[in-house]
Amino acid sequence: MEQRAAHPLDVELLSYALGEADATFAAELDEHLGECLLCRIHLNRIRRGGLEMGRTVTPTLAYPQIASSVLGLVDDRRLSPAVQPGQLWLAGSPGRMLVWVEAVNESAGLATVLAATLDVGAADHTSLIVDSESLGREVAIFASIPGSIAVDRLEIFVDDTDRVADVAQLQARIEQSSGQTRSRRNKALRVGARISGASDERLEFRQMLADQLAELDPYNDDAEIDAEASGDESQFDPIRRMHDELASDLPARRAGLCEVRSLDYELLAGSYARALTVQPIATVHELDCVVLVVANTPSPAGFGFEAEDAYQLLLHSGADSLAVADAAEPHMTFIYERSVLRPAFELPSALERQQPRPLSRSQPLVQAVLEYLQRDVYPIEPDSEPDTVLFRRTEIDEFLRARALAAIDDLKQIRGTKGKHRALKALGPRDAAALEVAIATSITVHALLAQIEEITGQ
Amino acid sequence: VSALSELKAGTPSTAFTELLIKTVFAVAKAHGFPPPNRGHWNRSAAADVAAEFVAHQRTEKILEALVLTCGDDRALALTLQAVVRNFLRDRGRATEMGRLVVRINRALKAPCYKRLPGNRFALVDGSAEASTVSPDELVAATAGIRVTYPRWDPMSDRRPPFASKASIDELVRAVMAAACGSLRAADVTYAIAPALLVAAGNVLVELDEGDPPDTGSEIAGLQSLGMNIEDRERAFEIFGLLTTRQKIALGYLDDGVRKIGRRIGRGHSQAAVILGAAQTKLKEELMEEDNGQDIAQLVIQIARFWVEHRTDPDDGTYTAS
Repeated sequence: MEQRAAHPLDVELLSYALGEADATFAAELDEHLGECLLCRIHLNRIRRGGLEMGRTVTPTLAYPQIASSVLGLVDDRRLSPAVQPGQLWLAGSPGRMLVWVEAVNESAGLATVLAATLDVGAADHTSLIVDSESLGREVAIFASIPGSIAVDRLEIFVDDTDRVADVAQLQARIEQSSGQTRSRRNKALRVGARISGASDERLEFRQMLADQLAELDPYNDDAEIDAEASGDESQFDPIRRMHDELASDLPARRAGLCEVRSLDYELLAGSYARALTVQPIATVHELDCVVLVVANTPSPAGFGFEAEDAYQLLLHSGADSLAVADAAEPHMTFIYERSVLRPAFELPSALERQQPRPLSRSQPLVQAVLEYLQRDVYPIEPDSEPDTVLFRRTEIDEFLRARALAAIDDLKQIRGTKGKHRALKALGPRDAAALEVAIATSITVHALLAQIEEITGQ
Repeated sequence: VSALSELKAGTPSTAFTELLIKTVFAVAKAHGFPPPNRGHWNRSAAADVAAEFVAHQRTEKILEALVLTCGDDRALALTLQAVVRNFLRDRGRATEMGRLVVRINRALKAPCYKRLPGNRFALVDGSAEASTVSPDELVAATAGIRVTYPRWDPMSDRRPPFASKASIDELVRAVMAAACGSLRAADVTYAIAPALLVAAGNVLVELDEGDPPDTGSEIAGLQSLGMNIEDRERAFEIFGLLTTRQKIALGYLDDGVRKIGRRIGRGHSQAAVILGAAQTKLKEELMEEDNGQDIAQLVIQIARFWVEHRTDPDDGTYTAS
């Protein structure tokens, strides 16, 4: 609430512009306006075109009658009942929000509540619309916005809705909607229309309710976090740390061969929609090899964003390899080369396209980039036979071992239906074990192929 | 006597009316709402709109909500700001509904419809009896139709079309088919309005959308950005569609949502929603552009320039002296 209160209301800006604000408030506003672009824009617009607000007689307007039942609710002398599940209350002060009590823990002095609103037009498919007799109007209860609140923050009792079972049914329905079928026994509930997409304003509305409820939570730590004005960590701080780690470690360990460069201004902004979730960190240059390092949440099954976006990032940065590092410590990193940065069929079954495969298993950021650079730049005098250089054992071993039996089954399925390769048809679990031993013991590709030939030829 | 005291006594009077008129004036000017009758904003215009607000059928419930949710006068002023802003938005939408009726009348002149006495319309080969299908079912008939929008310059003097002609024709066709009888143009309009987002939404909470178009064209140097980008005008056009908060969020992208939240007067999770809405706008506008990536990056570049130069702290337009 504090950060919202820190911005003046439009009517307060008007009073400042008219010179009606008292000296203390005007001084506070002066200071705020020096820092706040949003308020400067609003004040600028208020002043533009003049301020013809000359004081004249206040017109008499014919206001509609406010229901006495509503006025009675906020009467200070009114006694409230004990807090019970199913009740509607107004919580917090001085700005109050409507909540529906789901459960009460008397010993802890806490209530589990759901956010509710009188703005029924903003209800979505997770909100149950109920009639409140005492208000003489509808109320929307958001089954998907729960919160915890101290019982003494429940200020004004509003109504007892007696809709506990309906809310429970709606909650069960929301949980099931992720894929399971709905029970036909459920009774029809009155709910709002489904949120139509990312541009639906009700997303913002929901978030406002959730934030308002969180501010009433006795264990809410947001206020403390927000109070750490200078010391808080933005989502970009880990990125800076990763950049600094690369810049300080890599050039030292590569004896001046490589250079870590900051990214272009435009690239930092990311690839407009999807790739804005990716945080480019730096490019690493060594001879003609350029590695783009980005932060995301990588996994062996893929790098967590679209291959097309990754390709675009490489094109924009001029890099030929992509290092995808986990933003969390210890920044485990996968490396991909541009030439294989696309979904591809995986042999031997070739049933469907698989995500791009990393060059090796993940390692901490600096180690991963270091090993890649060592691998990418060959020594002038080869120190071993080409076979051992080209055969990346760590890469193929793990894959083949895991896939040996499945690969045989796939081959049998495909070839078996065509009546060919009888030898393959005859392969069984024992052969898989033999293959596993062959993979583990073969030193070169030639040796491995010879052993496979022997096993499948038996 | 304070405005809240008047309200809690059930008799809003001078203090509440003064607050209402000032709020209308301040909100209308701060958020760029057009004044009534093509005039300009002054106390008289604000009082006219305040009277319109008081006479609105929804106001009784709004006053009750204010009584219930506002614990002091600042809380009242805060909620009233949201209420007035939403009222001004809906006022604009009401005008839009009138304009939409005119547009639907035009669509119903197509040869596949016949005009009947009483200003009703039916399919040429359909029943002339008045439709008995419920309004909800007519709205539901439009649900599966993908609405497309023609490009439009937000700075254009003319208001943008509701949607492409093909979309409107398809929506009208779907409603007329679902009606199984004749309808008035207004019935068709209300049935297709939700598909075109010409509908009332929240009342008591101030959301972000609804700022006037602002491309920052008066800011020196802004127009020279992205000279090497093909279709660079498109970037300025899209930038103009963003709300003030969305522009600030994109301009301070590097700060993270916590700091952005403080800048735009919202919590960090709402800042994330607002940033997400800006990204969605970019995506929706640019997904079919060949050089969408370049244009999006130019939009972000414009936003960075805009936040640095728009109404800087030394600007004579805001300093008290």
